[in-house]
Amino acid sequence: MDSTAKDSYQKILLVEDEKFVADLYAAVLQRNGFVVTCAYDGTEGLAKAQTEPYDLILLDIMLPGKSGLEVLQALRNPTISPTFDQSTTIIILTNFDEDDITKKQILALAQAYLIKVYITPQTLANMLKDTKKGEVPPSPTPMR
Amino acid sequence: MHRIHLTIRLRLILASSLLLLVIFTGMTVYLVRINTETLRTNLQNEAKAFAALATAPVADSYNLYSESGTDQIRAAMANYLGLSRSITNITVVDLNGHRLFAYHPATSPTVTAKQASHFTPLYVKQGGRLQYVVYPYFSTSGAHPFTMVYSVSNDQVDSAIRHEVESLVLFGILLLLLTSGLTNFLLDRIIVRPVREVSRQAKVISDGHLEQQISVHGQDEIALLGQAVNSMAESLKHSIAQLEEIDKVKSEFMAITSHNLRTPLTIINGYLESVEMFDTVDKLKEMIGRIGDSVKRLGSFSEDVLIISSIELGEKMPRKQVSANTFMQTIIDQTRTAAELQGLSLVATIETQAMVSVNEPYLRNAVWNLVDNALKFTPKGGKITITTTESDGMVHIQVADTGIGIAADELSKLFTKFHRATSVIRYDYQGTGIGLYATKIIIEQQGGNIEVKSEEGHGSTFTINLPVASAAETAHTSP
Repeated sequence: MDSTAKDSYQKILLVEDEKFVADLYAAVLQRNGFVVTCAYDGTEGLAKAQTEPYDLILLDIMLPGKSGLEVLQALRNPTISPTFDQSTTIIILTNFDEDDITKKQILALAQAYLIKVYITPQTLANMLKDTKKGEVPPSPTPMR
Repeated sequence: MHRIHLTIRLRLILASSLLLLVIFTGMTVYLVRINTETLRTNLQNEAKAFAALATAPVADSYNLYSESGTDQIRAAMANYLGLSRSITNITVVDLNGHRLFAYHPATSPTVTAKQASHFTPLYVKQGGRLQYVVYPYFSTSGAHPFTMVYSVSNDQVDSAIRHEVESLVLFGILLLLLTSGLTNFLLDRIIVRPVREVSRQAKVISDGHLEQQISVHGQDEIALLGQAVNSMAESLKHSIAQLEEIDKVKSEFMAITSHNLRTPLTIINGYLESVEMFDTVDKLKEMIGRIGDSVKRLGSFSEDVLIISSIELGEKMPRKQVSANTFMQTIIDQTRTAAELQGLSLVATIETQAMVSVNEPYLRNAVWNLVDNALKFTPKGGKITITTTESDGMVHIQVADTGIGIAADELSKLFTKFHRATSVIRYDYQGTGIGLYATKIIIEQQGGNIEVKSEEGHGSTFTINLPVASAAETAHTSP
């Protein structure tokens, strides 16, 4: 880690049900110096986010157990998640295109909505390396 | 809207007034004619009676004073004329019609000798009106020295008739005003107000409040109008709901389709990008295996989407006679290899020699979707049973597994395009799929049907039923 490490993203929670995809993103992010924890369904993801602090949560939408939207709503509700640090950046990383209304609803709670197929693991790692903690990395693709 | 409603009201009032006017005018003409007749008869009778009563006394005065004083004759005549308003003049003529005396000489009528010498009274009319009465005077000795002529005035009759017409017209106008007022009131009560109420409520509906119902009272035309608007709103509501449903299904189809195409691409892109991470042959093998799986997933999903699109677009699939036995043998051979690799046992039997009329690649896709699911959802050590039987003119292809099974509430939604709860995004087990939907519509296109039985935790059994090709079809396609 270089000198900027302190104010850049370090601890990442990756909530992704497709194991191949999760492992791949985790491996590439770890090779780039990030500390990555994986959760393979919504329930596990919510529990991990509620019990341990992370700098960044990468959240899929289509998840078994609890959906990404349900996890997001639970995390952003201080009554349900009193221990969760509300300054934590949450980025939706999915291949699922929501309708505009739902997307708006999601973007009120999350900081970005990225389409996985355009953000390869290395692209994501590069984006995050250049971004300060609490800021949203500029997306190489239009956020639709 | 306001103008039309006024026009209808005005039109109806005008129509009813016109009708009343015609009826009333007819009635007036009839009444006046009857009354005129009566009045004229009365006048005639009065004149006749007057003549009968006045002739003797006037003649006596005439005889008495003819030599000495006309003043006395005039006085007697004036006395009698004062008794009747209809007699205006008395003239005395000799039997040749020559005037002997006249009360008003200027207006005395001219009488012919024939009239003057007549034995009985004459009623001389002109234009249907009695003008004068020629009344012969006979002395007590029976002599006929002269004749009286009484001029009759029709003024009284005329004024009576005028008066009657005037009062009738006045009455008519009053009646007309009353009737149009009443018509207006009744129209308002019976038609205008209910119509306005219906149109007010219809406006609410047209403003988008389709749940609004027009209150319907009774069975009349306005009630029918209300009912018609209600049923229109109802069918609009239905159509809108249908369109919204179609729209929702369409966007879900798009969303899930793009998701299913993007996920394998994500894996392929990700692995290719980090190829240097896989620095041993084993790691590389694993990577290539995963890319291969993703390519396969992309392929079969694309295939399903294409099949669904072409069937939904109504494209005809060419069919031909296929031996169920041969067809299933190929599938079983492929399944056996895959099952062995996954550590599953396979039991397969074929008990039919029937031909089926199908599109072979599509049917293969349909059956393979079932076999693929069985392979996917049956854990190691499990068993897959594929049987092909024939009964009642149908070929039954059954694929049973001892896999994870399907929950009862999922079963009914299994063959829908995407079975995903609305609003809240739910995850379906792998194969968020259109595979079973594709299978269903393929089988239905070939004239068959598909059934499923399943118990969660104990496995599933899918059965495809296809009609046996008829003898005629067989003969037709045989060389």
